[in-house]
Amino acid sequence: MSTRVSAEEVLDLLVDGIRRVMGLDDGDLGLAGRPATAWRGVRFDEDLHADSLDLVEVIEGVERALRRRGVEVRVADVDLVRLRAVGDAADAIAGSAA
Amino acid sequence: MGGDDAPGVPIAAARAVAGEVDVLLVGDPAALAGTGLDVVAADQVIDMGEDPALGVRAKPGASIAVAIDLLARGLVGAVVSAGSTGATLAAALLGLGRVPGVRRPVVAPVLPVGHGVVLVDAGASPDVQPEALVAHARLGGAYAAARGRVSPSVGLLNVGAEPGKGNSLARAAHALLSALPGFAGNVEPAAVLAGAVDVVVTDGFTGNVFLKTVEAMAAGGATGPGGVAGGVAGGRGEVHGGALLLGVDGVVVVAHGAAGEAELAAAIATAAVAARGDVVARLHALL
Repeated sequence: MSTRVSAEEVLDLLVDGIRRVMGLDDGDLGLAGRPATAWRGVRFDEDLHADSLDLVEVIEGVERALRRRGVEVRVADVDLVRLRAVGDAADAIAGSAA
Repeated sequence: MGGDDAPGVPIAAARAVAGEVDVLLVGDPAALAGTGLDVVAADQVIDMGEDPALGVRAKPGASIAVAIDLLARGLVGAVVSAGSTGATLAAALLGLGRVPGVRRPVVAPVLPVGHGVVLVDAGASPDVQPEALVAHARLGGAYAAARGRVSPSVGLLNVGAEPGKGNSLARAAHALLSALPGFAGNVEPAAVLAGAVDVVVTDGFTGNVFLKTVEAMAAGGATGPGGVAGGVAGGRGEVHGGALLLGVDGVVVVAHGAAGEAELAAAIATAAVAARGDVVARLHALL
């Protein structure tokens, strides 16, 4: 079982998590019909109006999903508070894989 | 174990309801030793000044996180907390998940006037968009229905009854709520306390100020025009027995940090009634 995960795989999970937690769809952000990579530049604060609870819920959802696949990930708390955009989160989660 | 007077008040409240409700205390085992009550150890504390979500993530051994985990695993039927509302909300949302369709849970006390007025939101989300008040109305209406009200009426807390009254949030919310079945328009605080509607919706900041004002007036024996506060209760502890955290997938009740023994015992009773009445399952069915 792989213990690595690509940032692209994480991005797909993040986008699903954001849609679920924040009740958003692509149309809300003008991203309808565009690939998941279009979400990389979406900012948690300015674009999604996400607070720290939204952020933690999304990140922990992705971490749990990856653990179920045998990939151990955990973004350090000090890094989590520095995440600005969805792409940052994808990179941080993928980079934390043990 | 949170609360201004923990562990003394929670221990006294748990003893007060013994025989009616099985209470398990979660917290520092040294502080809870010798109480004769069942104790689950939790040795971390989320400070009031700490970011609640980050605190819950960083401290899985905090009492609220441990208590929510017991609920998530079905080992208890409900959780009552007099600690930080933000931490309770975060722990509940992260540990239990949400009722499908709920964006953000709300604090929903039932004011003891009329048939019981559900106040949504009394403090979970201080800053909201107008659309959130529609979600508040749906949640509050489902809760009122689960409590037995047929076709519950919903009012928007405002400074006047006319549709154009209030700030930009209230005016925008009024326009959205007008399409909702049961919407009765704007309601002023006096009308709320007269039991004019079954559910009153507002943002978490306004709702918290409203609730605390009513409680303070009732505690001081003061009455406003028309005996407003006097119609509610004779003391803070009688205003409400804790508030259900509505929208999380389990029974969680938040109580005042300054709750006394009677108030916290009432909050425990609220939790027991909600758990025994399967309120969360009813919300699933109604939303």
